[in-house]
Amino acid sequence: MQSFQVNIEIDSPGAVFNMRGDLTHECEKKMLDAYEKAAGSNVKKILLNFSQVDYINSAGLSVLITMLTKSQNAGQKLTACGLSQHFQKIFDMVGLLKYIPHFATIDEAMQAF
Amino acid sequence: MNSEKIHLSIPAKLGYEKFAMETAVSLAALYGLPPARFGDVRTAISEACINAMEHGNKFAPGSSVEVHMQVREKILQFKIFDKGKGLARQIPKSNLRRKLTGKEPARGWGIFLIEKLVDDVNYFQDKKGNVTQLSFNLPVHID
Repeated sequence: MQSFQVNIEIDSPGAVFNMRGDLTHECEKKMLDAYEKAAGSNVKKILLNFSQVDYINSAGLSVLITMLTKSQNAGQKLTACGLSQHFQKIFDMVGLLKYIPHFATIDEAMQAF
Repeated sequence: MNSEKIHLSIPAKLGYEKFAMETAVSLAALYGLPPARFGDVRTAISEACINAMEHGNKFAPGSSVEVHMQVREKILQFKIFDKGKGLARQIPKSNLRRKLTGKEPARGWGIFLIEKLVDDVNYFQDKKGNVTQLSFNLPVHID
């Protein structure tokens, strides 16, 4: 299993979460710690960069849902980029794309940021 | 066109589902499943194995989940065996809005995804234990 890493770039009011590895149950603490760090910097927009994530399972989806709930409660907007076609399909099935707009590349996402 | 049977035994420990995923995709590629569906195979096998580890075997140390793979009559078939008693008769449908409002836990997408991604799914008991059977239809080529 590829261990998960998340590197955050904060440029308030935005933050980019560059994720690498497998998005599974094991990423929960790292993702929620990163979220709290961003939220503590008064970030209002968070871009989740999935371009270096190639495995997401149902536990990983639940981590994203927990983060989405927190961000909605705090009035922050989540966007995403770099999802493979398969994971765009999964996000669409689950309903996440209604709440987390997806852009093909980080450049497109940053323009809409 | 039938294939030889492939039997895998993986520890009931998160992470090992990836061995089953990749073997399943290799078999799918060998028998002509369109590459656009490889992700469906990966996710469905992964979620079925994780369910078997967690809900069937309760992550019991030393226990294993068996995965049998075979192509039979243009159907790519996977059976995942665990030591559990099977699914509850009524599985509540996962609903994102309810999860976002805290009315149900954020977790619980495995069965939802499996049932959306495969062509057929069956749950039953046999002498080896509880079985989740996933099927993918292979394309039919008319010469």
